[in-house]
Amino acid sequence: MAVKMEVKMEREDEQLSHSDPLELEDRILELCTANEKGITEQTIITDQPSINVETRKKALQRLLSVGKIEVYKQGSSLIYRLKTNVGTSSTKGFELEEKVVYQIIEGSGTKGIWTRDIRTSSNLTDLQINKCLKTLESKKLVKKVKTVPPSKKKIYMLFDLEPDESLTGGAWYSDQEFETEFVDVLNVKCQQYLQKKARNACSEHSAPLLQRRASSATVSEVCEYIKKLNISRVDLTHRNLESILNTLVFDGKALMTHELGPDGTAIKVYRATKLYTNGGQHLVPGFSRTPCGICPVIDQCTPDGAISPLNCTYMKDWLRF
Amino acid sequence: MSQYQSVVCELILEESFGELVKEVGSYLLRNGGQKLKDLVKGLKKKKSDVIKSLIVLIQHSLVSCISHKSATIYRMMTSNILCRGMFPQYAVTGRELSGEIGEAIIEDFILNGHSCMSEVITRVVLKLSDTNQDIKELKLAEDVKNHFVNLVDMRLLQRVALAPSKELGMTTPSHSLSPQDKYVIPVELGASDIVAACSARKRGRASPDEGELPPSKKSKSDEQGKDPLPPDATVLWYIDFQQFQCHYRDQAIVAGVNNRIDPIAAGVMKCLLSLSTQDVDPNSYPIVGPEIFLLRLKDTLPQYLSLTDTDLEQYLTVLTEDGFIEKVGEASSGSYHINFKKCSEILCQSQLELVVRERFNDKHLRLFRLLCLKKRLEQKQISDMALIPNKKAKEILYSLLAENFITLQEVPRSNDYAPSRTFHLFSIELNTTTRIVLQRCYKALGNLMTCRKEEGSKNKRLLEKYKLWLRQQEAFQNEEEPIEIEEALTPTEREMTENVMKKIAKLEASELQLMESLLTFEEYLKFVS
Ligand code: SF4
Repeated sequence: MAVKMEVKMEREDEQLSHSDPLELEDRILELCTANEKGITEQTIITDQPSINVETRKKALQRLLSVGKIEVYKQGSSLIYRLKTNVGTSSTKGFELEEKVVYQIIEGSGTKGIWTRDIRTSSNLTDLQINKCLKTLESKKLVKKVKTVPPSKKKIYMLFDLEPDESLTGGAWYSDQEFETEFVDVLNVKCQQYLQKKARNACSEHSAPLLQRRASSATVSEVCEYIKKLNISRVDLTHRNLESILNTLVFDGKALMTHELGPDGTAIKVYRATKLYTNGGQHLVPGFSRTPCGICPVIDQCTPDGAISPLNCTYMKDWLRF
Repeated sequence: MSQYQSVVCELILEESFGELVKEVGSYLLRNGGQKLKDLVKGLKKKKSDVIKSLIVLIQHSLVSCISHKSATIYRMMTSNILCRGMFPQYAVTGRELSGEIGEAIIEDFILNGHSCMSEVITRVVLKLSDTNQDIKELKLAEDVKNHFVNLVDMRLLQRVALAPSKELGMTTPSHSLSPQDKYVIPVELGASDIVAACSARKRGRASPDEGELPPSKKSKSDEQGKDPLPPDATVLWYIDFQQFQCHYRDQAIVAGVNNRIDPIAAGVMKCLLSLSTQDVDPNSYPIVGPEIFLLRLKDTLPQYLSLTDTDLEQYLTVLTEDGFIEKVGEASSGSYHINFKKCSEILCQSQLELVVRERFNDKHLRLFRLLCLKKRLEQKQISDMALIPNKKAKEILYSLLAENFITLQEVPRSNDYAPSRTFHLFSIELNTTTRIVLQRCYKALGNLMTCRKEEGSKNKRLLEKYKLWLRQQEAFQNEEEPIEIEEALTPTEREMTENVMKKIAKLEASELQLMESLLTFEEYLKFVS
């Protein structure tokens, strides 16, 4: 007994034995707890100089793999520190299944995971999984998130995570519904802004190229303008507005070009464009001004068939004075 | 030649020349080029009738004659028939470019087909002096001649090369003339000769039995009759369809530039176009025009544009940015050429876009254009980029697909074609879509013409009565002699006729507008086929 005590004392005072990686792990954890900001490998070496590289590496690896510590890079050195999230501590006292399910969900990050995928990776039955999910949910450890169409799945993720944009649909969705009107309003507002800019450019410059350059707006400019309008409940990012401006391009109402920015890199600029065919009365092509041009059954219409120009009601209405 | 095109051609032939010519024409349309013998057999008609019809068609440049192993093959020139549908527009253009007299000359050709210059001038002088007694005939004759020459200079009229044909007993157009010979005016016609011809013609017309004959027959009977043949009788002229079509194409390009940029840019473009089309055969379709040097352009720019050098260069840059023209070289302060293919593509695509928007709505247009820009996309990508929710995007895509505006391609990732492992790519082939819409245009045109024909024949009696009534009214107002109004027109009848006439006018106007769309599409397809 006395001998044993002695040995132990010796260890605590001096060094750990060379052969016990588990104890080294504990020591590392202690060191980490003492240094909240984390420790470098050098700290461990200074603390335990006699431990060989191999054992040290193994201990660190194990700690990392069971999720007790995490590693990150600072400058050129690697920093180890205690993993602080609910992870390891909150699984204490869990049933084994719960722990498994929790870990799978945790692993899926902000993308979340679908129950079916939990099943395949856990090998548990649906019943078990559902039970686990219920308990975890009631403990407010995980939450259920409904994704936007088309997948419209129910997925799970850790309670305090913000779901990824691909699940929520980003700024254009609220309650999994696409806000068409909101997008349309933004589309119109952006167009108005570009048009105003083009008008000003026209009155300020007579040279056509200068006009063009002066009517172009960068995404940030448009962003600013929309912010000032105060029409959005959510914060619209640069990317959001770029998508809106792109819809204007697809609508044929704006054009995107590249301009040289102040720092010499190309930046995207947008400007309002006019249609090739909006002059005078010729707003609409001749074809589309006839009833046949907009007729839904033109492919079925024949002079002697059931649908024919002679018995056509569209034609009759069109020719009514 | 599609089925819809044939329908339109037949309707045009029937309207211009009546039932018999239409039958001959449609036989040729459906069966391709034929020998006279086979034509007579196939049609089961009298040979003389068939010959008569052929002559009419040949005179209007609607049938070509090609000798083939001792026989002559007669073949319909379909594009010319379709041009004929645009004749009202030709007359308007004649007026725009060469005033009232120009219009009268074009109309005369439309009515009479190939004619020699003196005949046309005589007829036009007669027509114009009829309506306007005060004009001195001598001066008028001189004027008409000048306008004729003017139209030739503009390449809107050209000579028809002739070769005698025993089969038909007339001269028929043969090989085409060399470009230099096409526009040579053969003899100096004195104005006094024409006046003499006119008075002879007037005397002839005064005799009662000839008065009612249509002009084409009249001229023939004149030739056989007392009048000596005019000195230029062997040189026939006709409208150059292609030149007119080019004129409309140029107009459309200028209008496009005007809408897209501004009127000054349109002025510059117009000038570039005129420099590019000078001395170019309208039948050739060069993708790009000839090289134009900046200095030459500066010399030709109309005064009213009053552009500084920098402004002009900026306009050229803007036109280049939009794809209408391209810079070719830097030598002697730069040279440019017009990219005709690109121009026609721009116009065609913008027409198609509007067709889509009118047929469906703005969101359809968005997806259509998105596909035009990005070529090939999956549904998910489309809905993400266009900011249109998936379900709606799907609806739109499938309605566009159902009417063949876009195409769908299945790209399986495994060879069992399992839907879940297959990409569905939507795409647009501009030329396929154009072809489909073009066919619909022909169909629509046929429909409008059918309706107009029907309106006309359904109300034939009414319309005739109305015309008579109008004439009586006019005479009444001129207070020549009190006329008995034989069959009075009741107010309801009058209203009805006016209604019918309005309908016919609306149909006619729409047909012409429709042909403008047609032209844009055809013009583009010329470059891709
Ligand atoms: S005639 Fe009537 S049914 Fe036929 S294509 Fe035209 S609008 Fe449609």
